[in-house]
Amino acid sequence: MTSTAHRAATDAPDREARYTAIRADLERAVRRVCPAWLRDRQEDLVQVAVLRVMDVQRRSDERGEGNRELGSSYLYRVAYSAMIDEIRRIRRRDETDLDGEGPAVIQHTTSAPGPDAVTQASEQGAAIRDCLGHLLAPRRSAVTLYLAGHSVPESARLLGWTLKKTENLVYRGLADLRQCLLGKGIRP
Amino acid sequence: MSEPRDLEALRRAFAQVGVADRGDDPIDAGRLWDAVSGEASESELEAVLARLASEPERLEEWRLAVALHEEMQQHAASPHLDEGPAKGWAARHRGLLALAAGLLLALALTLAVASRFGQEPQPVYRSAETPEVLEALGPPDGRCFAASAAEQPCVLSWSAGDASRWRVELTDGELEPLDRQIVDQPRYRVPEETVRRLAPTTIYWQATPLDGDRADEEGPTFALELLQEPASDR
Repeated sequence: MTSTAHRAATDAPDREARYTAIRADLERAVRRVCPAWLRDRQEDLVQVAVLRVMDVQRRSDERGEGNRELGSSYLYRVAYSAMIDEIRRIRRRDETDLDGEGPAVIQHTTSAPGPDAVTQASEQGAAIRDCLGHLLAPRRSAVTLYLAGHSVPESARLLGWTLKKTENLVYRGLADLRQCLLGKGIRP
Repeated sequence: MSEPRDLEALRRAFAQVGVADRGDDPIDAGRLWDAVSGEASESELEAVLARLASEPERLEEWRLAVALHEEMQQHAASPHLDEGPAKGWAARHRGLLALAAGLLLALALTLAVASRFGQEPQPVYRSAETPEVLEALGPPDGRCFAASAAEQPCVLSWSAGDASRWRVELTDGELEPLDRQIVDQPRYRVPEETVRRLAPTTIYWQATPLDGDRADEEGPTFALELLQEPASDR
């Protein structure tokens, strides 16, 4: 038995537990944020990600790099990348299926708005994007996270800033954003 | 900061972009992960957020990274997810580790009780390896449990640096203050009543040195998850 094969055999139970833990975390994360249009594909997404993780570990063993287990952080990064690849693949396929009808519109609201409302919201969204592009970088970062749904403390943690700094930049950034939107004739 | 009245409208409009996927030059998933996990440099994080600002259709991907990273962090203490070579050693010496952890906990509790009853402050040991930026050291997995708050106190701890006094501030998710104390040890016990009353939720804390080189310099913000009881599947 080669040393790699021997190690793989002795590590098998630990690895299995590791994959199980990663799978459970993936399932919970997907359940928390998976949009409606992906809901019936959750299991596939998780499966693809876990298989990629196992594949990466196997190839590492084959290359003789398996003197150490791959780090958890690295494996989660691999799993996340695999899931995003799969989500993008599904999106592209769905868009192709809608051939001639234009790109699929992402619906973030539970009630279905009328065509006018969708058009208006899309215009506002485009204006917000444009205005964000003109903000000073720190204000743009703070406001982007805030508009993405993060609270000020969450944004502070993600940005590695203090609460006070983050709060100030969100406040000033939102003021700049409103000013820019008003300049475009948009009042949120 | 209270939420602006137009926040919901802004968030909805920001997310309602009407484009599913441009398909050209998407943000590399690894970069998104690094930005969320704190692995990215400041300029790289800024660059990723600039892309998100102009491509909010990527918000779903961002949220997925945040959610998965949170799940991973909650699992960080799991023996199955220990990093690299330490894993085998940790598995073989689990008993010793448990004993060491118990001794450390007993020491921490002794220090906390001693300082509470007005004894001389314990010496603060410093070394050249002391991190410049204040780091959270406890609780190890950033979580406390209401069900066991009496037996296992919820103790925040952080790297001391060259300071000997700190101001600790706790806030809820809306930045409403929960507590503010001056302490002369780099640790603070979250009142049991607070843990019981607020769980399940996430609160935030900061420790600001009041003396030393970094006096009055606000440190990073840390999250503390308050849960009713440990999940059975963890």
